[in-house]
Amino acid sequence: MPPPAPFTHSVLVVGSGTVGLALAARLSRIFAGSPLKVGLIDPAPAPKPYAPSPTPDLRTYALSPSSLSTLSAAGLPSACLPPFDLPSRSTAYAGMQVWDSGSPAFVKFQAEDIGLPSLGTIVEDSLVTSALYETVLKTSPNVDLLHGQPMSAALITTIKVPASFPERGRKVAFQRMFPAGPLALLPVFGDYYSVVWSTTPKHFDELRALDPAAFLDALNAAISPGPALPPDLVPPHVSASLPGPLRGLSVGASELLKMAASGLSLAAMNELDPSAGSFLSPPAAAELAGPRVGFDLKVQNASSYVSGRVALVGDAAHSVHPMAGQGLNLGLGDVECVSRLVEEALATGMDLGDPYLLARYDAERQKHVRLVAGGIHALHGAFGVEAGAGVLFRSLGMSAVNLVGPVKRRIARVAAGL
Amino acid sequence: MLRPLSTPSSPPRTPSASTLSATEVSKFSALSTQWFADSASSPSNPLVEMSPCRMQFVLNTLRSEELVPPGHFPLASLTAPRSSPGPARVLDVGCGGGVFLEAALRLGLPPPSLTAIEPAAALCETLAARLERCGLADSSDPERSIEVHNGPIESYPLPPPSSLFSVISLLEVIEHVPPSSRADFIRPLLSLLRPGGVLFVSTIDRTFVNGYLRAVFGAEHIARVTPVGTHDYDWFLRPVELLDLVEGAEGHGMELVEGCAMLPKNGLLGEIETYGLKGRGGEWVLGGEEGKTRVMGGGGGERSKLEDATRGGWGNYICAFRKSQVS
Repeated sequence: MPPPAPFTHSVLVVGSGTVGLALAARLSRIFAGSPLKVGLIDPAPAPKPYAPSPTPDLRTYALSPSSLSTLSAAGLPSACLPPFDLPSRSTAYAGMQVWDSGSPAFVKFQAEDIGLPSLGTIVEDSLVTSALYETVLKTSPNVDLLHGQPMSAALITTIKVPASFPERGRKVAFQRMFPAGPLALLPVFGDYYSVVWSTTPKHFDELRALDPAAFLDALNAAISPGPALPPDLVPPHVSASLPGPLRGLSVGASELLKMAASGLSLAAMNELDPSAGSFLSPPAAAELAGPRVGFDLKVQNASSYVSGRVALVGDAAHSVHPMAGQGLNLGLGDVECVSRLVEEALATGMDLGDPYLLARYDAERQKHVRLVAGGIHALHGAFGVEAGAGVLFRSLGMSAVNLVGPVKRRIARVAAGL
Repeated sequence: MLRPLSTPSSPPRTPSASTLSATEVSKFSALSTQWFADSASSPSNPLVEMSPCRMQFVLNTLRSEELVPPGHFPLASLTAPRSSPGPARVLDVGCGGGVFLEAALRLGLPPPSLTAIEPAAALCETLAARLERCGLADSSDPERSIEVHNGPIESYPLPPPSSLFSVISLLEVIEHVPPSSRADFIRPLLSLLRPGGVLFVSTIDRTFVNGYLRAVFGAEHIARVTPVGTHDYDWFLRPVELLDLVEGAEGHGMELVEGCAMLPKNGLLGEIETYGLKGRGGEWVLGGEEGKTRVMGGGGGERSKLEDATRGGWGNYICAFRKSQVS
C-alpha cells in the first residue's frame, strides 16, 4: 500500500450526523469541478438506506425555510425522487400555536404574517440524512467517505390522530408550555403526529412506564386543554393571613389582572378575522403509532467554535433545548456560514483554514447562537415560573404578543431562521 | 530559497537617487515576522482581512477585461491582452509579507509567471519561508519557484517587450513612497506594463474621518491592529491625486478602468465593535451602491465622476488602470 499523501483533503468533516452530512454535501457542491476534496470521517457506520415505513420515523425535524434552502444548496432535491418522497412524507406547516398550561394566554404565528408560504417543514431525520448520503455524498467525486447525563429528558413517539381532525388544524405545529418544558405535537404526514415531550427525568420515567392507553390519556390530558384561567396573584393561604384591608387589596389586584389577562385573550379570539389569531384546538391522540423512546437534553455552548484549523459545527459547538426544533436549524446555520466562508476563500485565493476566516465563523455564529439559545432559554425560564404574579405577567405578555402584529412577525421570523 | 534575481547587475544607485524612503524600508523589515496570524486569537492584520475584497475586485476587473475565464482557479488561465500576445506575467510591487502573492498562487497562477519586488531584504526571506511552508512555491523546482527581486523598482531590469507584465499590483504601497518621489517611482513601474495590461492600485484616502481617525488614530492607537507609525497621514492620496499621478505619467496612455471603495462590512460602528471588543477585525466589502463608492471608467469625464464619487471620502480604495493598446 502506498503511504498516504500528506494533504489529501481540503476540508475534513468529523462526524456524520445530520449537520456533518449537510456540511460535507454543501462543500462537495462548492468544490464541484475542482480537484479539491472533502473527507467525511465517522467511526459509526454510514446511514442506513431510507426505507419508508407506513408510520413516520420517530426522529423528526422542524426545518426552517432558511435551513431548507441550505439543504437544497447542499443538493437535497426540493421534490426528492422516490424513495425520498419529500412532499408526501412531510408537512409544510403554515401556523404555530403556543399556549400556556396555567393561564388563558396563547400566541398563534401565521406564515402569511411574514409573507412566507410556511413557517417550516416537519420531516423525518432518516429521510434527510439518507437522501444527503445516497444522492449527494455517494455520487460526488469531491467527497471521500471515511467510515468506520441529563438536565432534563425528552420523550419522543408517534401518534395517530382521528381522521376527522379538521384540515385547518393539520398545518399547525402545536406547543403547550409546561414549567418543566414544552410538549410539542408536530404534523408529519397523514394522520401521524410526532410527539416531543420535554420534561423532568422523573416524569419521563412515569410516562414511559404507563401502558399505551394510559399514556394516550396522559398525553391528551396534557395537550388538549385550551388556555386556562391564571392562578391568584397572591396564593390564598398567604392572602388569608394578611390583615383585612391588605387582603382586600391583594384580592382586588389579582382579580383585576386576571380580568385583563382573560380579556386580552378574548379580544384575540374575537378578532375580525377569526382564522388569523384565534385559538385552535389541538388534535386528540387516537392511537400510539410508535414506541416511546427518550433522550437526554443538554444545553451547552462551546466558548470558542474554532482552534487551529478546526471549526466546531452543529451539536459539537452548541446544543439547545428542543423548543421549536431549533437545534438542527442552528447546526444548518453553521453549515451555511462555514460553506460561505470556504466558497469566498476559494474564490479570492485565501487559505481555506486561515485563522482570519475561522475567527469570522466564530464571531458570526457565537453571536447568532447566543441570541437564539438565549431566547429559547429565556422562554423556557419564563414558562418555568409557577407562582401567581409571574404567571399573570407571562399571560399578559403572551396575549399582547399575539395581538401586536409587528412583535409577533418578528418572533415568527426568528423561528423561521430569517 | 526562491530564485534570486535580487542583486541589480548595474551598480546600485545612491540612496538619495532612489524612490525609496530608508525609514519606510526599515519600518517594514522590522515587521517581517508578524505578517500572518498563527491562530484565530492572534492579533488581526487588516491586510489579510482586506485580501478577499481586493481579490474580488482584481478578478472582476480581469474577467471584464477578458484576461481570465470564470470558474475555479481563474489565474491558471491568465492570458496576455489579445493585442500584445506573449506569456502572461504578474508583478507585485512592494509585496510585503506576500498576502497578494499567496492569493494569486492559490487562485492558480503558475509560480514561474509571478514576480515580486520588495525593497526590504528581511521580508524577502520570511516570504520565501512562508510560501514554502504553505506548499505554494518550491525554490528547488524551477517549475514551482517565483522570482523575488530585492531592491527599489527602478533597479528591476526592463524585460524585452514580449515579456512585459500583463498585470501589475501596487497594493497598500503608494502611501509609503515619499510624495516628492512618486512621479519617479511610477514611471519605471509603468514601463514594465504591457500594452493592454492592467495596473491595480489600492491605498488610503486622505480624509479626516476615514483616513486620519480610522486608518491612523483608530488602527494604530485604539485598535492597535497596525503598529504605531505605520502610516503618515500627509502621505495618503486622494483618489483624484492617484488619477493624476497614473494617468499623468506621460507616454504610457494609462486610463482608469474602475475605482471602488473598500469598506468594513458593518460600517464604522461594526468595525469599532469587532476591533474594540475582540481585538480582531471584521469582514471588508467592496462599496458599490448607487455609484457613490464606485466609479466606472470608459473615456472622458472620469475626473469629475471620481470627484463626485469620493467627495465624502473613500477610506480604503482600489483602482484599476489599463495601459493603452498601442505602445
